[in-house]
Amino acid sequence: MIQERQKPTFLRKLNPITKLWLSLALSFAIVLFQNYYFSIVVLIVGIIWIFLEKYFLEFKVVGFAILTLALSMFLINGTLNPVNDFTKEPVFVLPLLNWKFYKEGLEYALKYFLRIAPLMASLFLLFRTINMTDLGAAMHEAGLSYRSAFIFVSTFQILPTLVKDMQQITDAQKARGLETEGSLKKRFMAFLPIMVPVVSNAIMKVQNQAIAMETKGFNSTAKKTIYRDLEKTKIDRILKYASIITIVASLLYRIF
Amino acid sequence: MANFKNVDASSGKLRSTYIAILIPLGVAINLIGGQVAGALKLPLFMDSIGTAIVAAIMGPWIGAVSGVLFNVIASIINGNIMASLFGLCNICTAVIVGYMVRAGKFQSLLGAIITSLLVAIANAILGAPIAVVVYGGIQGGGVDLFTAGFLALGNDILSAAFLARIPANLADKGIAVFAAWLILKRLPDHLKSLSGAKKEV
Repeated sequence: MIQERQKPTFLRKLNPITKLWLSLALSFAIVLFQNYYFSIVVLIVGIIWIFLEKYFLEFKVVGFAILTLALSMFLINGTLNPVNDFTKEPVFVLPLLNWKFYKEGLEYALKYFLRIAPLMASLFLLFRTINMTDLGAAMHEAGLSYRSAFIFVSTFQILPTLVKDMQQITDAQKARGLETEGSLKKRFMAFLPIMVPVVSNAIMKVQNQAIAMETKGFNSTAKKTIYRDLEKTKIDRILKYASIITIVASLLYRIF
Repeated sequence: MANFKNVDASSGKLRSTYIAILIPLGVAINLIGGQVAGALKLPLFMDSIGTAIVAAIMGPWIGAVSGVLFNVIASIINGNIMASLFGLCNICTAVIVGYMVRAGKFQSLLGAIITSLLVAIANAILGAPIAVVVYGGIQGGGVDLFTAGFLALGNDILSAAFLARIPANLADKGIAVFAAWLILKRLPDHLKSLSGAKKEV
């Protein structure tokens, strides 16, 4: 398979373990501090950085998910949430539909939205810039067993093969007259004819894979070595300690 | 391939090789299920087929590991780390399917239907509080329409989230478990159970 080598930017050069620390620190800080300004800054910086790293096309899916989340959260909580004081005047009324939005519900939605959206944007960026094989190697170096690291990494390797299988099977079934568009019922009926062959194929290959892995010494007790050299620079160390300090600080902030 | 029928996969070293293959496979099948559902524009997740299959083949706890790993990896891919809490739902799915298979109840159509019902209810019970803690009840998906309906009827957030999840999960997990059952039926006997459970005679 052809793999694209991307230009190493600051984020890509960071050690994968450092990024895990950073994402942990961000999650703790956003959930425990619950500071709206901090969350908004993280969200905006995250989105700008995604543009700078040229991940915009892939971000479209996540961005769409964030927008749907925002829309449904504010619409439903603003109008229907029981925390609303329905006796008060609504903040505003949507013209034409006459939907009344109340202050408490909107604040409730804002609280949860600003907890999730910044994390979605920033962690998307952090994880997208990790090479998953590097992450597996780094986890193994950090003390995770070889088997667990293998399980983690091989998920990301199986996925493209299965996606390819799925596309082939979808095309084959379409050629046999399966309708994948149209009414909801038709689309429902198309689900199993695609899914069942994809999965059965994959499971039938398991035995071959087991034999291949046996012959390559998967169960050998000899110590396994990894040919990837992962650098750990000064910045990695600084960011790691900064993350630990943030986590401790946010925990202390919550407790006191 | 037929020559390897007598390779004993239910014990010893080979079992751990199978575990190392099937856990990632379960995760990938879950993700593919979600992708197919997305490509067909279905308003459901369909992301527990892999968990159910791995639980049926390898036993409940391997299935549970696969389910949790799926939620962690899905949240890595989407960046929504809080969603990995829904891994608890997948543990539940795996344990129910796994023990039903061990008890030999997952062979008939009726058994499959009962299992789907149990899985759906368990998922609704676990999923509602998680959705309230993580998203405040509204998670930006098809379930929200039901939730809004139950809110409009005057329920509080938690019970609306729970009531909405019953029909949604019945369709979602019901089809997922049924798909797992169909696939298991079609597998050759020596691949049906690698966990040393009762085999179909």
